[in-house]
Amino acid sequence: MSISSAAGSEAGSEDFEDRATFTARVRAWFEANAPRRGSAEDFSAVHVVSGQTVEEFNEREEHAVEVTRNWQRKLYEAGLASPSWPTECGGQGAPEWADEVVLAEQSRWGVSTKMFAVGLEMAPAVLFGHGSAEQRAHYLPPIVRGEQTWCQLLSEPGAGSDLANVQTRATPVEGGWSVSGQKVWTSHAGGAEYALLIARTGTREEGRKGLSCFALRMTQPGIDIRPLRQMSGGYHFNEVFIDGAFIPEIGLIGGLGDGWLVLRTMLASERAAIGGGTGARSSTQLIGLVRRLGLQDDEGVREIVAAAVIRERTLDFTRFRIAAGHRVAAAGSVTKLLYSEHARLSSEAAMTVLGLAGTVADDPESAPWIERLLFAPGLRLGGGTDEIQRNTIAERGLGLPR
Amino acid sequence: MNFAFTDEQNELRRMVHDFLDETSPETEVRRLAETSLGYDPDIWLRFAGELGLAGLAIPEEYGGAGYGFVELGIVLEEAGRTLFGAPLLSSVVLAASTLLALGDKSANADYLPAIAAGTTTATLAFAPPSARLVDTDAVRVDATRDARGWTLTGTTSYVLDGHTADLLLVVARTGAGLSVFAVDGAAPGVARTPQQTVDQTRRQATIVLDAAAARLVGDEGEACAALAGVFDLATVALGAEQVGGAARVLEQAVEYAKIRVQFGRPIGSFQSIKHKLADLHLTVESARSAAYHALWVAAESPDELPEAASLVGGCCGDAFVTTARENIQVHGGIGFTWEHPAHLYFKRAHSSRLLFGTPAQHRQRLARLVLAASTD
Repeated sequence: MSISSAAGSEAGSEDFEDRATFTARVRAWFEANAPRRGSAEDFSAVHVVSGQTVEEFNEREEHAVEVTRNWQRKLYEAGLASPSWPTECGGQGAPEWADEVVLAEQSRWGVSTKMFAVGLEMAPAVLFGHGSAEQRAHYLPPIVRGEQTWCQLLSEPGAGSDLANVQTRATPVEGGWSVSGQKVWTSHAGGAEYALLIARTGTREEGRKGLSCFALRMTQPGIDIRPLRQMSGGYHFNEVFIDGAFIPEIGLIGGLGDGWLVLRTMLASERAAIGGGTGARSSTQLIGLVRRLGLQDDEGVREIVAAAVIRERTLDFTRFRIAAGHRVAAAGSVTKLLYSEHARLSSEAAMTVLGLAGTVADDPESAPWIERLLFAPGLRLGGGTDEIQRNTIAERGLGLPR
Repeated sequence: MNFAFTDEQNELRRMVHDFLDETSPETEVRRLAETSLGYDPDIWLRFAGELGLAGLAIPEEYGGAGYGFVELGIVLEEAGRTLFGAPLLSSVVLAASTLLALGDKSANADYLPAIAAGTTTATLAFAPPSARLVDTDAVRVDATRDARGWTLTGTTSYVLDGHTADLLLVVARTGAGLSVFAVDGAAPGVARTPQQTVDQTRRQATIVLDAAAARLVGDEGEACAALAGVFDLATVALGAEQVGGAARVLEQAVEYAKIRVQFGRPIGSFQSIKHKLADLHLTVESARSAAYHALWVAAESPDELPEAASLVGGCCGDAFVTTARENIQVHGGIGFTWEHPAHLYFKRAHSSRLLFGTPAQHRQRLARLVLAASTD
């Protein structure tokens, strides 16, 4: 079924229906189509962070990817996947607020396509900001349809916070480039069709000026993916060894040597994506925990609950303000820091509330919190560490000297 | 909820900003802090009469402009930025909200138009001397009625602008419970003594009532519910003011960090200063989000007000205190001097944090509300 019959292939945003009509229609569609809790498509188990073995983790992750992929396809068929994108990119040519309406509704129903954030948020940010119309029409439609997922190949053993030190090299060859090097901390590398790659095309001495950004096909010879086990027990991250992989001409995003510029767009989008949250309402879950444990009247517990509610709601309201056009300096870094701090503090708060039950992972009350507790440190690293975010806020947001 | 400001609201902000830029520079704030009134009546008349800002949230039938708390919040935020010395919180927020909450049409018609015009300043008196928290059980003013009407006897303290207000709305006890009474500030039997306020830009007074003539406002014994709503509105309004102050001191700290050179470079180029200021930016923006949300709730969704107000009370006061305190540290020695404005904001921050319930008290209430509302 198509919810967006009004938007033809050439429909510009001026032809799109008004926000109230669209919102009503989206709400009705979600009411009829959003997966219910406890159903086979329930999203509450989609956030996979652990596994006893790499096989078990992969099995759980593949299931999560499948659930998310089906949901993305369903959204696409209803005309609700990235509606603000032009029709030739797989969208509906809707105004930007249409994306917000769908996102808000997803959050309300506890469903999310965050697992595909690199494809759905970072790749388009980069392609709309620096790519050509041809590249957008080539790469974006399979993402919107839920057919292809993307990953990022940025960090290297010698290039963490200091990304300008990337050494993976792309060398010109007949019809494109040949890439060789080693990348690390790549999430979802296994199932990804493409990667956003930062590679050196100039000399080492050129630093950030010698970098370029590419779309690299992951399903080709010369790419070896090795899972890394994280502290949470999951195999989220991978090392990726690249040995003579090929990138055709169309794969260069932005100009040769513009990699740093493109990277800044990519990282800003990543920060916003992380700050945008996963839809998990940890303060609501904390409230439920406190009630089930009968601790509502404990003054110390109430202080913990209030602090969590204040953090979560002020973060939500800050996101709404940004969406409403308020000027919040370095908005992406602000929401990213607030979100990762909330994730950390909430899981620590839950441990305090759980008491001894927080020492065992096979207690049904403690299990989800221990997963969060063990995942939270990574949220403070991904998309740039807390320290890098604070530098960004200070320098780009507040205008302090470098 | 809607966070987008209209063109009209943006225009209001610019107008208030420009007016306060002109009338409330630091020199004027300091001059007024040394006067007995604590504010400039001529400026207040311009603010209320010429610009119509005192009656912004008062209904048109009572001489106001008929807007709501979103607009009033814009004014308070700007006022908080400059430490505008004026009976804004006392007369426009506390007194007008109390009258509107009590819904006494005759009293409203008698008092609100003059409050809106700025020709009468009013305030609300509710706390006994040495009170620690806002607690209506602690009220120590008694009302009695005889053939000539009501009279009030007792003592009330911490009354905002209590030494200058023309109209005192006094919370007093009768056999039926708590009620609000209107008392002429200059009436016989009213003795007003300014208190030595920590924040010299906002005055408080102790008022001793000795058989002072009073007029009952609203129904006898029915003030408690109305006052709970008034304190919520006051908390929200104060939150907007605190956000304005916090944003201003953060600007001061950032400006100074850019120009102050030590070790041969601007101190703002050191990561310890950058990270401190980045954290303050998070604090200010979070508080601003809480305040804007609550202003919207006050205007559009009153059922959510207790929760929204406690959210504000639970974070905005602390945000201002943190920002004002760290601003002094970024400035170093000069920030600790009397001549620098940092201490004016520091004192305002610490005092305003305690006015309508402490942050800890608000957080306890917020937790009670969300734990009771949860069906999970």
